[in-house]
Amino acid sequence: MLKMIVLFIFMIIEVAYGTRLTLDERRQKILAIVDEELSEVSRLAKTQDFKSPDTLFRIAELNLEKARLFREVENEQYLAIPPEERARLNKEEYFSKSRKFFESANDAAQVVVKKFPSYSGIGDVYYILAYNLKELGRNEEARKYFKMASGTSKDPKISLKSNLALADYYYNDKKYQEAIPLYEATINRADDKWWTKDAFNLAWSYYRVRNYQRAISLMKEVHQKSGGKYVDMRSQVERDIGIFYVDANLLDEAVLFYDKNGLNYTEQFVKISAVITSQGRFDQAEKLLEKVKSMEKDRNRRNEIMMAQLNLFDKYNKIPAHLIVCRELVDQHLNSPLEKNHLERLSFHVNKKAAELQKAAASDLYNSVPKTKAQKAKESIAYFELAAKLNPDEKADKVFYQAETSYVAGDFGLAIKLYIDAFDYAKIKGNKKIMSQSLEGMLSSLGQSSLSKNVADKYYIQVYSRFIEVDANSERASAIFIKLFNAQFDAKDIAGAEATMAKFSKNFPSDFKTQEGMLAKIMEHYRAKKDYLSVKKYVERINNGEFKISNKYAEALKSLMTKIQIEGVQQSLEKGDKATALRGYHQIYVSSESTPKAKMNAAYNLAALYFEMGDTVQSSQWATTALNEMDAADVAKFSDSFLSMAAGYFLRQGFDQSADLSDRMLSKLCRENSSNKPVAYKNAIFIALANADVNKALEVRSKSKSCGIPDQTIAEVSLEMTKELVKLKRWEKVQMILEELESNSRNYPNLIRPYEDLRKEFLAIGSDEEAKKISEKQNRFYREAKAQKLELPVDALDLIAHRMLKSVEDKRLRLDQLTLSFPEDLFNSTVKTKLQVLDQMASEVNEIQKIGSGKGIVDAYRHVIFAYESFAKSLRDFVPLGKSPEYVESFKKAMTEVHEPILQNARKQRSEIRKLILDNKILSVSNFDVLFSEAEVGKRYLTEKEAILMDRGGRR
Amino acid sequence: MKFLLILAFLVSCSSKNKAIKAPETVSNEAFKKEKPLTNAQVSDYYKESAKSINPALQDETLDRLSQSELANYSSSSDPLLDISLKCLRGDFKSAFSTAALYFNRYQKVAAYWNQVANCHLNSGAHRKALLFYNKALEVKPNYVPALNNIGVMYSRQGMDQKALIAFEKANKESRFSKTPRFNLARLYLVYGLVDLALPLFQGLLSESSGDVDLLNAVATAYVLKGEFEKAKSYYQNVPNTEWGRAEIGLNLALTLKKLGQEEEAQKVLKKIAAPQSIGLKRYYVFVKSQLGVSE
Repeated sequence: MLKMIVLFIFMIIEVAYGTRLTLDERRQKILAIVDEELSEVSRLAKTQDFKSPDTLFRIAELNLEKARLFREVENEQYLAIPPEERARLNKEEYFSKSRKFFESANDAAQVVVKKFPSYSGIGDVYYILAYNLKELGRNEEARKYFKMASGTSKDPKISLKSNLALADYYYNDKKYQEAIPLYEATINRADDKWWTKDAFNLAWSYYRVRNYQRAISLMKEVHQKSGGKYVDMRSQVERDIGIFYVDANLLDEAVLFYDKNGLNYTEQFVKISAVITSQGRFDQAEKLLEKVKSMEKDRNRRNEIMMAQLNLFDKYNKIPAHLIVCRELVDQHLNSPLEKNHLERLSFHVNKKAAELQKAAASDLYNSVPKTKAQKAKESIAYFELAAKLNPDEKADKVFYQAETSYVAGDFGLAIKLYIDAFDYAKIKGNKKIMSQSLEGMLSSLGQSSLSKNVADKYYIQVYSRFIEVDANSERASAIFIKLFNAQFDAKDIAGAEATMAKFSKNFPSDFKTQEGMLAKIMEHYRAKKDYLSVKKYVERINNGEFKISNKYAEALKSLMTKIQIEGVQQSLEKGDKATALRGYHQIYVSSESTPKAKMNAAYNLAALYFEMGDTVQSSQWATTALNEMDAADVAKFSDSFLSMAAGYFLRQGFDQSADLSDRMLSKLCRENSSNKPVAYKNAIFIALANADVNKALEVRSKSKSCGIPDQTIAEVSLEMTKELVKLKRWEKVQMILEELESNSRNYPNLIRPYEDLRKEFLAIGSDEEAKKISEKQNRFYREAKAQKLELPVDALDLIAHRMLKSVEDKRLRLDQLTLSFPEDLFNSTVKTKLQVLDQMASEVNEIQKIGSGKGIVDAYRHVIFAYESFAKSLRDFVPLGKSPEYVESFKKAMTEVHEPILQNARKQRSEIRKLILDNKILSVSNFDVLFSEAEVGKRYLTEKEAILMDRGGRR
Repeated sequence: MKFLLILAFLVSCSSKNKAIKAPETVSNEAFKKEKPLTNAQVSDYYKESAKSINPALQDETLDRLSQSELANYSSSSDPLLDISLKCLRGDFKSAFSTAALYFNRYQKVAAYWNQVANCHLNSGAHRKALLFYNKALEVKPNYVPALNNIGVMYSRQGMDQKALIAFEKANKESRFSKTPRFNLARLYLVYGLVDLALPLFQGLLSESSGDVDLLNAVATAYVLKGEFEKAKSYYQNVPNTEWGRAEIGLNLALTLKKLGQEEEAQKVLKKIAAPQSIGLKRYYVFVKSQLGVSE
């Protein structure tokens, strides 16, 4: 009862529900008829108390019909909803109404099945149940009831439909062998509109069991029958028959089929390839496409095939093949543009592959398999190249990506090349971003330790030169300039290096140091090549301010110019070609282009060369020129050479030249600390004196103090000068020099004699006071020299000795003046006095002897000897006046005893002095007085001839 | 001599732009240096000897020869002789030019420098002379002619004591060199050191017995010693044509006088030409007074 109530309620609800749906007019009419009958049948069933299986069966059929109607509407409404929205909806809700009717139909049929299992129409009820369950998605139950319907239904149509439903189930379950007989049975017995559809499934079933011939044959029949009363399955056949042909390896027949039916076989095959590709049958798809491609002549269709190939190769990652197709298409496009669609798809493939492969190359995944990594990079680069061809506007980008790929793959050499290309393309397009990124890439690549030197060397210039195109002012640019310059220079790209240098100087005008470094290299290059013209041009540019350089470098530069000017000549000199060198130095000197330094150098070398030739006059002139143009330090440096020249001039009788050179040297060396300065000083003065040029000697001497000449040297030359000055009676100068020398007590011994000449001159002109002062000086000098134990010259000793002789002479005079006379007391007193004076004289002689003057000793002895002899003679000859003869005789006898010892003493002294003279070989004019007797005095050896000059050593 | 190759400095002063022309005709031959001769390669004595009344020192010196005697010498292939002759003839400029011309060849030869020095000494340039004598001694230490000539130089300057030292040193270096002995003996005799002079003169005379100056010197030595007979014996070997020279005739006359040969003495005295030097003039007066000849 409850079920009945449920069924009833169900029927009422369905009526009410039905009004809410919008049905088209046809459906509304059908529904109205169905509802009317359903209402009638329901009422009847109620009156039959639900015991009539026919009525219940009819209720089931009517509800089923309603369910179908509503299901159609629901389907339409559901499918009308936008997919995105539809996805969010609860599908069950949209199909709830039809579901109710299906369930109602089912309930009714279930009642029949349960209550009336032997019902004659039970097979049809099973079918309704099967159908409803199928619609409700309860396929297992549906399949069960289809089988039951097939076996029990007396209606052949129901049986047929059930078999067909079962065939479909098998087919869907890929149980083709089970499906085939059911389908075969169906299509053989039925000829309704669904035949084509069912045959289509049967054909597929044949195909699945590899019965290609039957499959193809049936497909062709389906195709043939489609249309008219049959469901039109042509499109499906046309779509699928190709697969059959392909698998049956009957492509030619397929083509015939397509041609016969006016179909584009390419399109079909392409579709097929997609299908079989989706089935994972890549090789088969590849072969199919390749075959079709070889057959297709139409460009667009052929391209379509290649597009399919791309998809295929992409799908199973067959890169080389993919790349080949891409290349072919790109080449084709370059010859004649592809269709837009093809171009877009090709571009997609190319860019996609390029990116994928780049990513793979960059991945750590392949680090352990470098060859694979490199291969992927290579392929990526190839794709980017194609991409660039497809889109020339983005060529810079694509090439940049190529470079990046090479970089990540570690092929830095290729990366640099590609970065450079990218930079250049970007530059054309004004793409600063890529330019900048490319530069960074280049620099980074260059900095990689794994980059070989040879490769790096190849790219330095290209990279750095591009860098400074973009950035010529930054701190980094400064460093790049230097690198570029050096790279260019090392690569012997001198013009490039020069351009870089010029640009650097323009952008970094205050960086003297770098500019100098560059200039030095460039100029040295030209110098080494002997391209002096270029060097000179640079000098001019520097002088014009084009390059800023420090003073120090300016000096070095001038030095270089000099070096250049001299170099050729120097080489001649080094080769021993002195004649050429001589002419070369002349040319350098007279050339207006020569630097002062070069001229100076030339002058010096000319002096040296002429010196070698023995041409004193020329050598001297050039030495003078060189000296004038040298600074003091240079003269000091080459003073040995100059001294050699000066000495050489002298030895070659070039006295004026020698003196002049020495003087000029001194003038230059005056403030220098050179050991040759005193030598030059002495030479200058001595040679001037030798030339009898006292004024010149004085002039040189006037520099003594200011030039810091050692006192000892000054004294040495000054004493020599005084000798000449005395001869010339230049007394003021004599006095001046001697007074200067007095400042050093060590000069005292040597001043005594020169002062004597001056003293005599003062006496001569009546300046007794001055003479006296000098005399006192001389005595003081002598005393102090003795005290200091300084060695005294012989002439000074002679002078002092003779000065002491004055006292001896005075005493001798006094003796002469003491005349003997009587009376006797007076006589005795006078004798006594004379003896005392003689003693004094002897004592003084001893003192003189101590002085060490030979001449002084001889003179002293002479005085004493003469005094004794004179005294003795006076005693001998004295006759007392007014005395008796006896007294006189007695007196004379007594005197004999007195004067004889005195004479004896005189003789003794003669003997002494004789010995002294001979032993010491004293050459005194007084020798004759003491060596010879009075009788012999006066005889002399005199000759007009002087001492004899010896020319040769003589025959031995 | 080093050449100035590369200078690491700059001289800023400008040079005068002289109109200097490079000698186009100079060849490298001009730079080829003659290999200097060594002392051993040069004969250090005179091979020729002129006929002279004073032949004693002729292998060592031409200094005692008269101009007429020098005329017998001609400029030969010996540059040193050439220099010497020019110098003794008073052609100093030419002598020095020749010396300069032969500098390269003779720069290591002491005789060359000695000759140059002699020439300077004879020209009155004592200082130059001394420098070149020193050069000779540098080339050949203790070179006897240079030592002797330094003595001569001092002697000419009136510094006989210094001259004596030089002569003695020269004599000590070579006892067989005649000129130093001659000069030494002469100096001794001038200063009355007869006992020192006489052996030296006699030794020289024994080597060249006819040398008039030596005969005169020995004779004079005996005069000074008061040994007039011996003196006369040497004077007798002096050609009487030479008696008219005051330096010979005066002491000869005195000798004759001392030997009582008044007439002969007077004859000699009359032959004597008036001397030039002050010393001889005074001595002339002295001798005349000794011979009782009034002025």
